[in-house]
Amino acid sequence: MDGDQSISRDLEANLRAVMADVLGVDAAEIDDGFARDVAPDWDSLNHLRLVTALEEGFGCAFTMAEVEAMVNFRVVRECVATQLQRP
Amino acid sequence: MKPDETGLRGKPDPRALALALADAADEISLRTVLQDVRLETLSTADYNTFARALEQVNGAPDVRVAYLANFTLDLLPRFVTVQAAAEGLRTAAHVGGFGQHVQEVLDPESRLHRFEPDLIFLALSLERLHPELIATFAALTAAERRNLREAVVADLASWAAMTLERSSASLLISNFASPAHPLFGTADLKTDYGQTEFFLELNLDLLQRFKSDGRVRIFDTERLAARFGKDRVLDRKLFHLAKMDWSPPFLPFVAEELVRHIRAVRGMTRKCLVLDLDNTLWGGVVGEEGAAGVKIGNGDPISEAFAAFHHKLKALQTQGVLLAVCSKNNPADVAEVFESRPDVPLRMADFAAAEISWEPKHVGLRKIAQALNLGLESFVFLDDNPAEIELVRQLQPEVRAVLLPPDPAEYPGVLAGLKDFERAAVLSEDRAKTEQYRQNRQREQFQAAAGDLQSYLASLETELLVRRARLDDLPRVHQLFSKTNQFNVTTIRYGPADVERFATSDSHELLLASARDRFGDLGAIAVLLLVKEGDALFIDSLLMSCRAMGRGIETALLNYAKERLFALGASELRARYVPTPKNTPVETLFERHGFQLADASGGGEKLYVLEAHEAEPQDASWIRLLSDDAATGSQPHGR
Repeated sequence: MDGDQSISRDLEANLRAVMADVLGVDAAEIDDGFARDVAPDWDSLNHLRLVTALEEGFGCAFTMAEVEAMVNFRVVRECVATQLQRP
Repeated sequence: MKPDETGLRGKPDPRALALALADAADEISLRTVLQDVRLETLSTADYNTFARALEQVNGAPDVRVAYLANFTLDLLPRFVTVQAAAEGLRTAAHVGGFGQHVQEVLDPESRLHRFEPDLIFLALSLERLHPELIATFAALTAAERRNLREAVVADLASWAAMTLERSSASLLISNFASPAHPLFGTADLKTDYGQTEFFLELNLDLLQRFKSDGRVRIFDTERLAARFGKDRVLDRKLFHLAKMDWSPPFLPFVAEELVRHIRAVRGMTRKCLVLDLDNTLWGGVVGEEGAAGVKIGNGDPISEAFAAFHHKLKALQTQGVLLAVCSKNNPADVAEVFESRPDVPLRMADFAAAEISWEPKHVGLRKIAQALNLGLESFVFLDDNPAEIELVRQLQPEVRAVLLPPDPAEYPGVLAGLKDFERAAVLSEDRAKTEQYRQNRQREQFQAAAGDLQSYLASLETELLVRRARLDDLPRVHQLFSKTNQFNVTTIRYGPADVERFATSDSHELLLASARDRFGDLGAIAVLLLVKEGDALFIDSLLMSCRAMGRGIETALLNYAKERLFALGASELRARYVPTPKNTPVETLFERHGFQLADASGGGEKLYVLEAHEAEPQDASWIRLLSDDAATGSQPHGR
């Protein structure tokens, strides 16, 4: 991924909140390693819901490649950061 | 647009609303939770929060909806759950397997059949049905495109026929949204059977094919997508990633329309729209500005905006909605507006009732309810004053009280947004509703003048025609089953499939009674459903429209039932009374007509028997009973 991949602490907290809400987990459980193949409720339907919630909540539009790449929290955070940097 | 960096935008606290949704104990409290939430601006996340709370609730749902599609529709049910809750309804959902709309119907053990849906929603993508033909559409000849259209319609018709046979659900079949950008650009409309023409004929064909089928409705995706914006219906990345033809932002629109169909199919139709006057039906306050000073009619934009609102109200009236007025004013001031100004589109005669006084609005609404013999749950109330709306919401929560926005230009939009007047069909009966209510007021005034009841009843010159229900009567029969509360001995809400079954079955006699009197035609006002049970004849349902009550028609109908008892040689007539909060008027109906009480179980339910040798017609000489010869044994016409 190009560009500065860091986001503010507030933004990261919001991101965790959105994911926690969609995936039915506690926000505190979401670390960089929190991943699709481990989280029980992160199925394909909830992945679509997550993408929609992120796009609506952060006002961005992910590419197909990004949607497929978002398999854990670290990548989700990086994609959101990249999106927010786009003019 | 610069992305919003702060994440979720502010809203009324969704968690609190979610808890309230889960806790709501009945239809009115459920509906009330979301009454001020603008569902069209709710985020997908909030829809999910509300839907999840609603899904936790135990208890029987009000409507069971099955979703069949050949694209990914799994996200839709949650939106429907929330939109339905805004109407006070709880729903259950079954999403069929991808592209399994034929298999799930044909397999008697399928999850679809085990789910026992009330409504089956079918949405098909043309592209997935005929991938090669759609991909090469531009290269097809006009004849090939016509064949494709015919094949699509034929397949849908046979799916519908097959499903109607195997399920008692009503069907909701989506039509086809034409693409946002036509294949041949602006030349499409000049092309021999171009893409636009193809879709127009396809959707028209579907409309005509199913128009008169009481159990099939077309879901107008074409119009919905156009209204939403066809460019936004398709999210191409989700289309490729997840085979989703409908983007998540489109789904709330789909859900809202689906809930309209649910209301219509279930006969959840409110009957009367009550309106304020000042700043609702005209601009300004007549008590202050005088009849000549209020803004209505021609001449300036605000007056014309109010006039446009009047025309929309008249259109509602043609569908069968009664209009009424509830206003704090001097009656003389109000009368002057209608009498002295010819450019007011609505006239006093257009209102079935009017309460113009200084009493609080809830008192006025109650009086209107009494005058029209309707319950408050039949009412929608519109007012521009938030205090009045709040008053009615608190004191009469059964009424749907809606606040008008500040700008009269937006009033027609408020009407269009109401779901309360959705109905199964607009029948010719409905057009005449206001006239019928006017005739009723005449009858009441006549009664006040007449001395004793018997001579009054005789002077009405009532004629009652009783006959077997024919196929084209079925919508009205279904309407009566859905809407009749007071004169209804068992209050069973039969659906269209049941009604059809009764009309064509050998063991049932589904009778429809129409009445007229010296003042006019009352229309089809009563249903009597007789069931042959071995040696006995059972009155399964007896219901009558409230406008026909109070003149002994029930005696004539029960005399008819006794005639059938003799004609069929049955040994006894059986009947049943199931109490509800509304049907106390018929609590002792059968006792009064000679039936013996056979059993009175707990809960107030009563079973009756009348042996043939004890059955005698009772005096109903003031009613001239006409019966169709066809009612004495032959079948109604088949399909």
